[in-house]
Amino acid sequence: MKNPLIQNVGVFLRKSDYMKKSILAFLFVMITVITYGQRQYVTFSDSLKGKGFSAFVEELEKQTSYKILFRKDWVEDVNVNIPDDNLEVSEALKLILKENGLNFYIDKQNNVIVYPGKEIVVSLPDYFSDSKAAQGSNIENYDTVTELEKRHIEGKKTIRPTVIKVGNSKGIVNGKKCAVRGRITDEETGQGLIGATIYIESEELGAATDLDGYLNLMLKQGDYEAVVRSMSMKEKRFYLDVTSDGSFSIALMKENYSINEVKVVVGTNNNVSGMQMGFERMTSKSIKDIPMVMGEQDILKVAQMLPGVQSAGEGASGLNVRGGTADQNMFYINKIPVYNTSHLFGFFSAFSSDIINAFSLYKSNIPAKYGGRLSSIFDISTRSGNKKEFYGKGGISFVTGHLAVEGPIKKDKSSFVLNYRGTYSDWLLSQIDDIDIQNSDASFYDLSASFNTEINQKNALKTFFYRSSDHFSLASTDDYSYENTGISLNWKHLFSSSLNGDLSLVHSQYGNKHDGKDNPSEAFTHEFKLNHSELRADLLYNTKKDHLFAFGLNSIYYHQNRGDVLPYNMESTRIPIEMGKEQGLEFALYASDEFSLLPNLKINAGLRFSMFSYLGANDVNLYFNDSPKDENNIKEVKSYGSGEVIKTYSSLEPRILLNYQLSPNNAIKGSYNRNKQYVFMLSNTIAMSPTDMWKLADYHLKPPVSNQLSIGYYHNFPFKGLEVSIELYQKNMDNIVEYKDGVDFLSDKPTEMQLLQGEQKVQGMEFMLKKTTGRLSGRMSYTYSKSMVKVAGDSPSETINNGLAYPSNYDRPHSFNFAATLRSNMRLSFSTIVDYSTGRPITYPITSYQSNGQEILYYSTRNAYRIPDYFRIDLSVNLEGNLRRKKAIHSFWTLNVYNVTGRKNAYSVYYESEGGQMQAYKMSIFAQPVVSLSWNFKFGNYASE
Amino acid sequence: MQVSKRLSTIPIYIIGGNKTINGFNSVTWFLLIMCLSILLGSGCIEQYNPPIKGNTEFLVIDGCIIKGEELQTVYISKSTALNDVNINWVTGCVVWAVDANGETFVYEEGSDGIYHSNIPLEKLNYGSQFMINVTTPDGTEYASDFETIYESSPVDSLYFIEESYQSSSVVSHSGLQYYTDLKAGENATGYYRWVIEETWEHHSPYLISEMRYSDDYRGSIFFDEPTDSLSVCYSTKEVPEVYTATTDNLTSNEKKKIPLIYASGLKLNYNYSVLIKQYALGKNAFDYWSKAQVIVSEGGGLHQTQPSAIISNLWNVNDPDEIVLGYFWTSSYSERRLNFKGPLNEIVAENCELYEMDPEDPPLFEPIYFDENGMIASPICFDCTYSGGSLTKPDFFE
Repeated sequence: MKNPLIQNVGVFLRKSDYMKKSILAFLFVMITVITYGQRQYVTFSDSLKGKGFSAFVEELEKQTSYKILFRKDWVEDVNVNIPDDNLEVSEALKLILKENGLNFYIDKQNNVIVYPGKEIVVSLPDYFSDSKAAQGSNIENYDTVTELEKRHIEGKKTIRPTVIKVGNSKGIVNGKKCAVRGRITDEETGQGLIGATIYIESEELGAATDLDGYLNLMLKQGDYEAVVRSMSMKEKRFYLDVTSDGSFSIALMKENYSINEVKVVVGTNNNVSGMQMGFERMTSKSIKDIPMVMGEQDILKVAQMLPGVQSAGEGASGLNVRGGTADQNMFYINKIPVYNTSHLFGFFSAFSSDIINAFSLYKSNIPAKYGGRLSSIFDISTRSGNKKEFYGKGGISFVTGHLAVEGPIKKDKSSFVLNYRGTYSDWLLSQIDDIDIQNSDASFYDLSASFNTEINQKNALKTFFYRSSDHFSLASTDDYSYENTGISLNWKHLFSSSLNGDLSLVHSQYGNKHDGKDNPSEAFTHEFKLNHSELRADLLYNTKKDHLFAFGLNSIYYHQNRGDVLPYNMESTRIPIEMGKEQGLEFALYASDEFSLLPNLKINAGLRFSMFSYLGANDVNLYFNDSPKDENNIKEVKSYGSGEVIKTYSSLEPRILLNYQLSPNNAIKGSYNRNKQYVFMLSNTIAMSPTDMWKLADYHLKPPVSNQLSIGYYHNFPFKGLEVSIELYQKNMDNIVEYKDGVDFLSDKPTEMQLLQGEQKVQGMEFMLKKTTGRLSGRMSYTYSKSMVKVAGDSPSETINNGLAYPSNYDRPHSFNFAATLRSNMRLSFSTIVDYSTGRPITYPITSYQSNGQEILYYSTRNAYRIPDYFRIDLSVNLEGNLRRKKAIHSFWTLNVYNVTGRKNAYSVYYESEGGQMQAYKMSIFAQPVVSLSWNFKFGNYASE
Repeated sequence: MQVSKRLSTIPIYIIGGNKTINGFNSVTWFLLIMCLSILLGSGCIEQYNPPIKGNTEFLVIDGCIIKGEELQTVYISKSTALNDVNINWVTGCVVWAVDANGETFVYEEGSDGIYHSNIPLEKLNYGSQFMINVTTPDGTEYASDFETIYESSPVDSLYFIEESYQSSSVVSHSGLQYYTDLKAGENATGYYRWVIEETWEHHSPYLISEMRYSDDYRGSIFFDEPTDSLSVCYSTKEVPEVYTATTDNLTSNEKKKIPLIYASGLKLNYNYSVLIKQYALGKNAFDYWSKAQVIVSEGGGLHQTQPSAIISNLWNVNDPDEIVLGYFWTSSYSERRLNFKGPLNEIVAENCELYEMDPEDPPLFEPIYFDENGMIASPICFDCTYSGGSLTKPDFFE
């Protein structure tokens, strides 16, 4: 058995009292050697698993010099179910006994005395040993020690790295690398930490955890000094003693803020060494500090702070990523696709921040496992639920109220999370002294439920249900409603320490309904429904030769009812229109491999093969060759039976990323990416609207495709906590959808007669500076980009802007974002946001003329002008209640001022005819500083946030 | 009580078959509500002058041939910058119309840029087709498509509903929303446009006792009794809005409650009259006018569509790429008048406070009107012709 040598003793001490402390340290070393000199391990053979306590004792006494003393009737119900194959004796005992309400005490002669009830404190805690937390147990049992005493004691401890053993002597294969699978958890909640990193300095090797806190490493046999880091957690150093393939788990503790101490934390290596480009991952903690309008935390608003991500305007739903339309982004919440991500037409996002654990945004190098959208993938993961204690949080702002609760179903095994958010915004409308506004009403809610079970060490199940719903009625003229509903079932299985996989079943439905009642003769009702059923399998294989293979498949069945336009009531003489149903099947296979080509050159090469079949029953118009698709050119109408394949598209999509690391803190990366999109939104307005329908690629409408090339330079200043990156990209898209003039989606006119397809070219440069540590943290980004669309069909009716390229609606060349948070002390923090961007393009009338007594406008070429630039500053103050540990409810107040300068940013510019003369007007939505106050609270195990 | 411009008032004002309220579509309207709720009614909308560059001068040919009219007219001008209220007439053009049989009808220039022709009434029948040709003084030739005269069915009904609206100043008053029902025969066209002419009686608030044409007493007229000869006027104006409707999506060639003009304010204090002319159109002319309607009533918002190009049916014979604005259309019409006897709300004209003339000050107005107490005010408060209109009572008011 190897004995870890104690290193780094005294390194963390301040110079002034170096002498005093080093003597103390020496003493600690002595004690360590004495007590832990005989640290012994017990190896669990498979035959032991599930056996009773007596069998375990027998084995233990055989392997070690320990003697166990216990009463038989106490341990009757004890089952030995040890996850890891190699454990230190006291850890093993703790794991086995704690669950059954038993405790133990080890004396100097290695006698183990088992007894029921609470732990007996036999001495002052001697020194801080990470080993206790290392296996996920709870050492924070300070009931008998005050906070002050604890700090006093801990302050004098040295930190001694622990040894974690991976594998066992049986699995030894000399010379080969071993697959090491690790799990990093939050010690307090037992939940896996996302994006936590492990770094082995001697090998210059690192890895980051996935959504469930797992990571994979390939290491040769031997001892390694490793450091594990995660945001707002204490970093932890330990030794990995690798003998063969195997797994380990390690728990990190929350980082406590200390007022008198300045800490230098080495930033994560992700930015430089990570195999991602155009990638952002934000956790709920970083989202929390960003001020929001109307007191709501909103991840989509946070996403807009990132370079290359914009919205069409204030209060517009949907995001535009690198010049693309809103429907080119895929939003997954726990694998459920969400087709409309907004509440109240975009004022709020449909994702309650209470349950969000983290979100990842891929905008340049989309991993091979994702596909089906041209611009980006948003992958949102929700909290998996506290497996140890109940916990809740909620809040009240002047528009919404929200509450989330979570807790164990079976302690340490399974958990749940429930949340609800709703609005009571009607009182706002009733304040307006106008009968029509008072007669309007707006409401929305979103809710979710998730259940997570760890069946055993190798299998875990996650179920997630999600729903968001909106209703808005405008006076007596229009009723709108829309709804997303989805359920996902995910099974995670560990085949071996080097192979694991996820199997998911997902169903999602998006529907909207519009009753238009303006004119009694024309009043209509229309309902649209899209169903998305998906099966996906994702596997991850870690070979012995430093390769990380990801492969899998997914298949989506789309079924949508485009709805009937029906007369609203008896008075209406609207012609009923049946817009029909359509269905399609998307299928994709992918494989990718990540490996080092040269010591400094890593590559992630992937290939995705996707195909899509548009299925009957449907009638398809066939047009004469070389003639515009309109009523006059129909050659014949072809009918297809139910389920018959009408048209199939397929695509090979390479996804390649190279990372050349110049030094540990410098890297150059390049990537190439192709994506194809088989379903798109029918929307001829700039922002998404609640009545927008989706359309599948069909016989005539080809799936849009994008090819993107990116190159970037990444630099970290580890001791300042600064990260800098600059990325250049060129994205060419083809078959993007544009619309003919006067298009009417609520008609029986075939879509191909109303749509045009063209090409789009986007170029850009994105610069970002991030500071992740210290009292002042934040980010600053600047983007320069250009996005041009060209639609040049064969005939004038199939051409836009005379076939010349024009700026897309989302072309905003300059964009600058700044967000910073200053933590004044543990309870008080200030944050600010600065947002600047060029105004969006607009087509202005350039001249007017009289026609039969009417003033008529003549417009410029498309998008030849821009509305005024956008500029806004927000400030917010966050005040936490007192931080006493034993408090039933912990709450905090957020005071937010949106648009501090009161700049009247243009939402739109439009013309009004006044007595025959045209006058332009500018409409602003938030034309003054908007102050909002919200109150949020947590109860139960609130320390976990 | 006149409140600031139009947007703070938000009258329900539905135009044609277009789903807009007060020119906004409903989502924009919602955003406006949000703005109003947050800011309590101020600052959401303000005037703005976009910087427009480049050529704004295009040839505009605008004309129509209407069955039943004695005189047909074509207007030829150059378009102007948006803020330019002048019309740059193009004089000296050669203009002629041609019917489907090849018969030509020459136009003669009346006043600058306005060309007239007396096409015999018997040539103007349902189904007749016409086109026009224009040669500008520099020799460029322009021509239009052939357009057909469609039959207009009689106006089925014209009625109004008193609808109240809200102003930001909390004073609410009501106005009249006029509607028409369309009942066209099964074989008649499904495309219509309405042109509206409104006539209203208005009074100046004070009677004249003395009229003084200058301050040196050279031309004063005194009345024994205050005279009411200049206090009652009648103004007539064509409404500068486009109203169109189609029965395209409907099961019958009928449509109810098509919203037309919304009348309110001072106009409804005394006699008020609305005359509608219902023009029957072909599909192309309808597209032209309905697009013009949309463009007049909306634009620019995030939830609005790209402005569509208004397609003219005129082109340069030798250079089809030249942008030519305007439209040549043909039609027949039926009309209907509806009178309203006010007042709906008694609304008092503003800015008519009486005050005493200070002999030291030079007169502000000319002439100066005095009431029976020797008080003065702006001439508009004594002489109604200052606000436009004539003193002759039209025959449709009894």
